[in-house]
Amino acid sequence: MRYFRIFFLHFQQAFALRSRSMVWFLISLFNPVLFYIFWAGAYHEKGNIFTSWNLSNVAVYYILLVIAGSLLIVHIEEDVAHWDIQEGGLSRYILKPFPYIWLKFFEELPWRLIQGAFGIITFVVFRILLGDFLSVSLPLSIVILAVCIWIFAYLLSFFYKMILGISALWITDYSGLQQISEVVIVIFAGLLMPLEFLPDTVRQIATALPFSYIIYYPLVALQGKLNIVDMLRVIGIQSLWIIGLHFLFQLLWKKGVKLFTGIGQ
Amino acid sequence: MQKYLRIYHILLRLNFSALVTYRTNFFNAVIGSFVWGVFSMVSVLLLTSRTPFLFGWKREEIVLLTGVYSLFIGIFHFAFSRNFERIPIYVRLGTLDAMLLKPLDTQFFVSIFLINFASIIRIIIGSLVIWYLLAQTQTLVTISSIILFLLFLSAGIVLLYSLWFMVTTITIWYPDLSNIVEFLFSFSNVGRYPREMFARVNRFVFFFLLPLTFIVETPLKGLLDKLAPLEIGGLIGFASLFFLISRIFWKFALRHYTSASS
Repeated sequence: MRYFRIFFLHFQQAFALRSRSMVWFLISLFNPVLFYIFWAGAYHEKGNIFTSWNLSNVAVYYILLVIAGSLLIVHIEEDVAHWDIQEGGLSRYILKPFPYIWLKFFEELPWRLIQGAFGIITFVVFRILLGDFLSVSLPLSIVILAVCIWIFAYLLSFFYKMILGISALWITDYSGLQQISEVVIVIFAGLLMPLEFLPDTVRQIATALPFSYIIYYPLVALQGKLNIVDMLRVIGIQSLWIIGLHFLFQLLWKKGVKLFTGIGQ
Repeated sequence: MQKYLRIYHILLRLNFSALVTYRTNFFNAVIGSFVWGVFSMVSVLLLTSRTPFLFGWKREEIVLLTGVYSLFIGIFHFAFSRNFERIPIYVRLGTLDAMLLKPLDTQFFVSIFLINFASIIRIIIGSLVIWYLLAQTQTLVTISSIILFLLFLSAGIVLLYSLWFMVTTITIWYPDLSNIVEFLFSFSNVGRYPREMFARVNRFVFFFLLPLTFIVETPLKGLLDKLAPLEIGGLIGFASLFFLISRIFWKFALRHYTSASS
């Protein structure tokens, strides 16, 4: 109940700043649209260059990517690294009788939900405009497993970004690390293109890293491109990454928080 | 004019002093600049990995376009980007008041106050890619084509600057929308792609994106001696028009600026 109140307070704040959320959403919208225009142009010029994909699949992928980009890519790291650690705001969190990680979790969730809602509205609009071109029909069992994959993807993304954020306890200015992380995510999570379109070596690296389990697999799961066994395998791998990253976070937090000096706070 | 050049020279010195003082910050910014420079190359190589010829462009030409984009955006980030990130902050905190009181053109001052030396890395990456690809494809580059290239590159920067400035001016009314500058970073990416790529999209979207397709493609065509008169007119026309609009819009917006403390 207490966490729900925390969530609700942050939801009110995020809702009051919904115009900011709208701009963040536009950023999530713009690049997938640009990539889709690229592939659609290539398709019309060269015919089917996607092997097991057709243009409708590509369109659905990029439109779902708009939702996934807004809902699943957590952006808590700047809050943690810059405002809490660099600027000293962490002092007021460590005095509260709640674990820091869960306070941040409920701080971030409303922003993702609001931006995700913009994404869902966009999907519905495109669906109405383009009709069957964007059709996705899935049996209930697949939908339930796909929802699980999306929830696990969110948790995975959250723990990864929290670890990235608390790296500032050691390096203070984490911006260089953040830029590297962003590029790695864009390439290996499937934000640039579906993993099938990548050269073999890059694809193998992508499947070995956790990032494809944040974006790519949730998308193809919702497109019906995975069978039940594949989906269970994805959930298993996501669970392992979540446990691993959660453990790593706790370890780093225990060591790192001792280094924090909130001078003047 | 001389006064403004002198001020810019002083700002260059001040920004350089800041760079030397906050070396870790600079080092991080260099990493960021390098990473994004390399990423733009890697991403275009990945996107074109399935087709050697697309939208009437050879694969090397599309990569060359990205190289020119890197050079272009490196110069733009060097001179302007960080200033755009600051404008909403000036408005929100009311520090714009002090700028308005200075005996200087406010648009000039808010646009050039901060200089991002780390972006030189992107300029270097772009230049190296251009040089490498021109050598690989044995393209003959003359002095006149280099002059044309630089001339159109400058016009492209004026055009992009004007578009960014117009959009950022909105924060005079809505200072909460400071993240609109982040959107502009994504929006500028349109310049990385050939104009022909947008030919099939909805006419409204195409005309909306059209000015951006001139900023990099026209200088490149100037370098390769492939310019059409319409292209020259398009870039110069859009650059002049949008620069004028950006100035008028800024002056109009300032009339609605209420200051944070008043």
